[in-house]
Amino acid sequence: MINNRRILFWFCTIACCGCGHAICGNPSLELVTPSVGTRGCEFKVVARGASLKSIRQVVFYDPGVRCERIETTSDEQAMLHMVADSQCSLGPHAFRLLGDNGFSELRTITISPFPTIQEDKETDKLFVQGNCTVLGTLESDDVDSFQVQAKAGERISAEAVGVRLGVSLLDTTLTLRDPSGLVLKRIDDTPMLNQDPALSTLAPVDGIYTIEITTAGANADADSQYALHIGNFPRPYSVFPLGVRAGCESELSFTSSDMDEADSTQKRIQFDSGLIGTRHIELIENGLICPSPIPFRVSTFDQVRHDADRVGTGDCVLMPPVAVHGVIRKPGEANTFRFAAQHSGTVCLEVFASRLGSLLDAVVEVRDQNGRTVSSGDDFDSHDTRLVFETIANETYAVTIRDKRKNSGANYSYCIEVSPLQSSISAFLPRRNKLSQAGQTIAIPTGNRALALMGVRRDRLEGDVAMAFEGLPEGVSIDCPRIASSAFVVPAVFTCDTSTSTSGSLVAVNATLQSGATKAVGGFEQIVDLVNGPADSIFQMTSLDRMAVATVNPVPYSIEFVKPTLPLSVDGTLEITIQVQRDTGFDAPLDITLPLLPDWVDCQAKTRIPANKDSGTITLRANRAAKAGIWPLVAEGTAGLAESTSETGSTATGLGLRPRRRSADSMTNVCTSLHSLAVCDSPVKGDIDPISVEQGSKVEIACRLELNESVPEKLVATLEELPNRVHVIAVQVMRTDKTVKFQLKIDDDAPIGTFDSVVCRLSGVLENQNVSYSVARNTKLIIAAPGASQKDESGRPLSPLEALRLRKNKQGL
Amino acid sequence: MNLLQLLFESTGWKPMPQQLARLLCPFAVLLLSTNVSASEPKPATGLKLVSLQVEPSTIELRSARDQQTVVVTATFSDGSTLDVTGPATAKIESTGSSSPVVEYVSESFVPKYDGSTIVTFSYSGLDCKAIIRVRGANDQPPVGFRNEVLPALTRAGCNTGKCHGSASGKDGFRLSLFGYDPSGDQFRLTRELPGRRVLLADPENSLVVLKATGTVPHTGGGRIEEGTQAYESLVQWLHEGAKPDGERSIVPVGIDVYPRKSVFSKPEGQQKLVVMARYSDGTERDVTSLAVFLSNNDAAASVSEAGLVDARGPGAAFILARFDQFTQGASIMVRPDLAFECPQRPVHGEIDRLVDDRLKFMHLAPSELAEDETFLRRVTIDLVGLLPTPEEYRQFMQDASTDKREQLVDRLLDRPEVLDIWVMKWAELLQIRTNNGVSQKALRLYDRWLREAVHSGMTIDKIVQKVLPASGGSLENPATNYYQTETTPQLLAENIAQVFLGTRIQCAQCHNHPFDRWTMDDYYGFASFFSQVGYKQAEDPRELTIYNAAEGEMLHPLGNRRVVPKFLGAEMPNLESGKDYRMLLAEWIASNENTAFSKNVANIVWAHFLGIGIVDPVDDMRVSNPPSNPELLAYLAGRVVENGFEIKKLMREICLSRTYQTSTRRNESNQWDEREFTHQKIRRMRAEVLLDCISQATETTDRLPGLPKGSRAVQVADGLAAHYFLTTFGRSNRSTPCTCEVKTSPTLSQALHLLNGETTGGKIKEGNLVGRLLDSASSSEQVARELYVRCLTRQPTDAELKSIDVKLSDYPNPREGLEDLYWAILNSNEFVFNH
Repeated sequence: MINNRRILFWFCTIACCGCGHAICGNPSLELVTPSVGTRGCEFKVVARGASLKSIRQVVFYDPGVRCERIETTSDEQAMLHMVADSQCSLGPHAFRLLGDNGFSELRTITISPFPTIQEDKETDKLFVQGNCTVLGTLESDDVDSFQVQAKAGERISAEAVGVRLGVSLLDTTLTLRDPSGLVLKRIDDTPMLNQDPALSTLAPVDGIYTIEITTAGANADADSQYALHIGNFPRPYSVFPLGVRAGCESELSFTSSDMDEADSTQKRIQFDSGLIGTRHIELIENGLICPSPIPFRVSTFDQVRHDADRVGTGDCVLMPPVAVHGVIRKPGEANTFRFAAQHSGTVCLEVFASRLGSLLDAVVEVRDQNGRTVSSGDDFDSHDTRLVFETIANETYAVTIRDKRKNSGANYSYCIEVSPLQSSISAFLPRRNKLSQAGQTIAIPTGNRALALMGVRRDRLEGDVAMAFEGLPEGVSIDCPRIASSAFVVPAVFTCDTSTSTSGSLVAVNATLQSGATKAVGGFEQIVDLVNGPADSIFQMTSLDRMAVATVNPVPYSIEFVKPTLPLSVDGTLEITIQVQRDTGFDAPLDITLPLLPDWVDCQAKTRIPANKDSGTITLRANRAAKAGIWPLVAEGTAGLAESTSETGSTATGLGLRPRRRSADSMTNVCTSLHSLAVCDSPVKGDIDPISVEQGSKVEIACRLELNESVPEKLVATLEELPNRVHVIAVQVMRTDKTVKFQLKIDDDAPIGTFDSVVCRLSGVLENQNVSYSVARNTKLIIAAPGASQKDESGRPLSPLEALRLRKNKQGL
Repeated sequence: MNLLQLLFESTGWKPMPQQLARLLCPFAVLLLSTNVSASEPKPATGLKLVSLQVEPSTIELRSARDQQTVVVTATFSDGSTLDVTGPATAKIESTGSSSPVVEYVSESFVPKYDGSTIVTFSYSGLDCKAIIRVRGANDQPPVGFRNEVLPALTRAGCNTGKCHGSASGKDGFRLSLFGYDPSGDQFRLTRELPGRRVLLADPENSLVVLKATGTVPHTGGGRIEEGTQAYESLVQWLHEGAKPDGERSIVPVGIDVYPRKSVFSKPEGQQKLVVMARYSDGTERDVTSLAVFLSNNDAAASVSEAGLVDARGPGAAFILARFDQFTQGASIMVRPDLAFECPQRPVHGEIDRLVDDRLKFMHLAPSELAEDETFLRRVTIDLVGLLPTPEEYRQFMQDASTDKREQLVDRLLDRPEVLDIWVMKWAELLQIRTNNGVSQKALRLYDRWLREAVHSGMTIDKIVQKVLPASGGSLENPATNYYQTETTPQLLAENIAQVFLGTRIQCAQCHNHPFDRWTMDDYYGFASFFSQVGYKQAEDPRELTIYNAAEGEMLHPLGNRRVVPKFLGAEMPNLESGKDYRMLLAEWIASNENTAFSKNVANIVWAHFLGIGIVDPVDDMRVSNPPSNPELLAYLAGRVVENGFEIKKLMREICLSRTYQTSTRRNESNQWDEREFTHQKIRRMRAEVLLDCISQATETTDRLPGLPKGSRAVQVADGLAAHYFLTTFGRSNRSTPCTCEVKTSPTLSQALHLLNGETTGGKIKEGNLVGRLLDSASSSEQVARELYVRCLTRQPTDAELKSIDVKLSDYPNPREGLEDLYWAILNSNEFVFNH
């Protein structure tokens, strides 16, 4: 089969090398095969990608897995010798490759508790003994079959890891056949496992059972990996309650087989008080471990059960913060409980169900003690409901929860947390590219600067935010301004000493908001997409708490602004200059961008400084809606391919083949230091009366002016936004002039009509910087056919109605 | 010597009888219309009059305005009928010494006094009687808007779509289309523009009257003549104040057309129709002069505005009469003017008996039985969508047993490919495709669900009962994907009516159906079964959850009143609180009692094998498009029910019938027949089957969208899957539930593709069949014979062999010549068509 994924990879690789700035030299990690290892064992994985020869380290975000040795076989492939500790947590572990040119994309290694075996495409039905994890690939319509032997009453379990491997959207289906070949079970998706299926059942008879895995979608190819846990391990479908209180011992019930079987396991667990949020637990039953940890909720709140604690009956009134657990057991059933607000304020009611593997599609309604609906809701990001509403002190509120589809069952469990609303703050790196992980790590060339756009999320908080960075690589400093309360992103400039060697680290970021008495501190939170689906949907992602920052090989140039000394006028322009410091022998062209400009200020998307040139200019334009103020200004430079670079030189010179110039591709981006850009109100005023002309005519247009002292003494005035075939000659004006007159020439075939966007531009040079200002914006120009224009005595163009009235008056009607 | 003779002799052209008939037709009609009106109708010679009937036979006249026309029909020994209303004498019984209570004028009874009487009609020695009661002979009840004025406007064409019945009206005046909104029309006439349209002080000079009569400029010209009943009703209504109908006014509840059936012994003659309206108070009234008449086959019989049917040519026609919201029809049969002797042939089963009965009645002789080779190819393509293999050909041709056709059908029916054909057909009706948000995964699951259901023996009624009430995620329960095809109650209702009941109700969304019995109330009542379908995005972005929201009502666009769910053409269901309406609908649709469903299934199966439905198009069953053989359709529907909707049994019965096995060659008597199943139809293979047959004949495989290599085109799951060959040859993209989505009409691009495209030439090269046959030491003639058998399921004729031999001698390399022969066979009509 044609390997589309591989073709795409090579196409991208070639295309990126061609354009020379997309991958910026950092290692690219396309695929890890296999992406599964066994806990407590060494294992080898093959990394495929680009620029892999330079990798020196594999950086994991969590403890438990490490890379002992890297064996690079080519720039596109490397063998990673890994070890998973015996205490390593099960499931995915995120990592990046670190090379001399920075970090790679993020990938994951999934840790299984079982030994792994490789599927054999030549064997029709591989016989499997004991608990193990089969590693294989599936193309569309492939069916891989495995056989297990079981006696009547013994458990047969299977769990596929497809999408959760984070490699591709391999949506699998599991089928269990009995010894006679009849289908016992067919599972597509298991709620607790996203799009992956799992089955667990007791063998009805002695014999050899067949487990089949196949694709449920149509997009699988030769790189579509899966891991299939097979054995007699416990594989619960549900857990109840869905949450526990941190620091307290709680008993959880795991339902391990079909929903209609009373086949559950009780387990007492205790979580540390510091572990708050959605956590995972490893289930071990009779010495057998479930291969995937089970998610549930940990909080500091009181935990009550709707049935056992009879909170839905009598006068039971709960006091927030509290977590209520229940199950919708009958079709159409609704559970109700009441709580009392101790204080007036904002309360958050959040359901945890679907996110924890419950089948419940929660709909929640909150009523006050008069029966009036205070708040109600259905979905919030997932099928789980989140309501935020105001409460009055000492009022009692009734909460009703039901399933949207009126379904029910043992797995329709829920956890509702009712608590005062908490504000929060966190830092992140805004995505620079929707379809890739580009820009989600920082690479700083030695002796140079790199730019990061730092973002902040404020939840129910307002105020300036300061960023602090912990654990930066040695020799790296950072210039990160405060993020104003009206903004959510700022440019942060990382600077690396010249003496620093290449290295990398995962940097903690603290965002601190201080506004009056309010102070909030948050960390870094970055969502990285691993598997995307149609319409921008995300099927598998991981959340990071640290930012990857690396110092990388130096680049042979740096860039810096010629510091602008003039402000940018509202409705005007300002030309700024970028200077390039080139190393000897480096003459590639450079592309300069300004990734972050104030609102309503723009410039060309990219400015190219040609090969061998050391400076370039960028014209900033301020719209009339731009706000006066001081804003950070930084430019980023990307080395491009020299336009004259040629692998085979011209033989006409008689010089034969010229030596190939140093390729500028794979160079890391750099940036200027952080500057300020002042935006000021326009220092000029002016206006032009509406203009009415006829085709083939010449007219003189006067523009009234009012210029203040801050503009250049000499200016050149011209009219812009004129229609085609209307000509004007630029006129010189002095700062003291009150009027400027233009000679307008309208061609015989100039377009007839009304053009209401004519503007007068005044351009000049001050302190060696080109500036311009706009006046008389949206002046109306009416072009009519010869003899058709209508004007009053003052020369003002008339509307058709006015012209009709004028004619009527003249006729004395 | 007449002009025609001169023409024939001067040109040497001798027209066939059929051509002659067409040529003479205009003259014949001209002669007919003058002669018949001038002379009394006469039966064919040698026929014996067996009965005489007057319709209606019970008449009640309730006011001075009431009149009643009657039609007297004579029936002869061969089943033909004759309208003898004119020549029959009418004798009105007198009651005592007083004059008769009615007067018989121009074939119509006019009330004179209150009382009752009996009228005796006599013709050729036979009598028949009609009872007449008169009550209120001097009464002049007020003219009703709905019952008299609106029908007059409808008959005049005022409220048609191209006139004031269009959505935005015409020239500033709008009426409801075909009068579906009487109260709205009354308002628009009288009060929308006060003082403009009606002038109560001088009714005859009202704008509505002046426009209607063309007295003042009117885009539509004069539509109602002064002195007609329509004019009198309109003016009288204005004189009486142009009042709306009272709440207790009687309303029509149905109509009847007399006679229901007429049989012309030859393509000439006339038949009068009488339309009676039944009202909510139990009374009846002659509304012939207010009804609208249409013919569905003008070539056989046309109808005048007054309801006078003219026989034009052999065939069957259905004359539709419309009054108020009701449509009813009369069946007209016109026999060819040929000497007919009923052929004696064995009857294979009930199908043949019912077809033969009809043919005898129509004076049609069926074609002869198809040869074994033809039958083998035809039935194999129809049942399994493939060609017979050379081995199957030889085995069948060498089989000397008398029941070898039966054995063949049984063998084919046992093959799984039979079900693949029907999975494809049901998938087309269910519109399985990746559209409207149906993801690839959902599509595959949906297709797999249907495929497994059909292969596991699930019948179509059970499929309906799974699909219609389906709830859950579209990945969790693939049947719910049906509700992604359309998401509004109206469109769902329309599709379901068309697919499962063979009824198109789309018209009734905006107005009462003009050619069927469905009203807006029916439409919205049916749509309201889907008014509580809930949609919700599932956690998986590719999945949509369908559920019973148990809330939400369908509102009628006229008055925004709540509409209660109502089955189409059946009683209201017993609605239980909280129960999924769709469940009730599914139970009703797929029930044995719902003959519309079983007839629809039977008709679809029949059309698959005969190339045309008993009702055609198969998804357009309506009053004005009746079945060509109602008894046959009823029988097949009954068989469907008896077999528990297991259509394989019906397929077997059809394939073993002589009707299916007739030749495609026509005889003299069935030259004109297209709908009576006197011969098989020549049918182009549908796109998927054609591609599979080409692949089979060339021993090649295809890479089809979403399927592993080697799969067949009939297994393609996605109606929107891109495939040049399938698209070019008219594969259904399943964008609508209409059976017309499958196109088998030839196009230039199809011919060019077969001639020059990759499919034939490429597959011949890829399969290398000729090379392999030559390598196995076969002679050129043997190879040619093999190619004929593989592709055409027959041996080449001697003439063909001779011609092939001559052609091959021109080629230096026989392989090249044989490959060209192979290509020519694949491009021949004989290959592309099933015959």
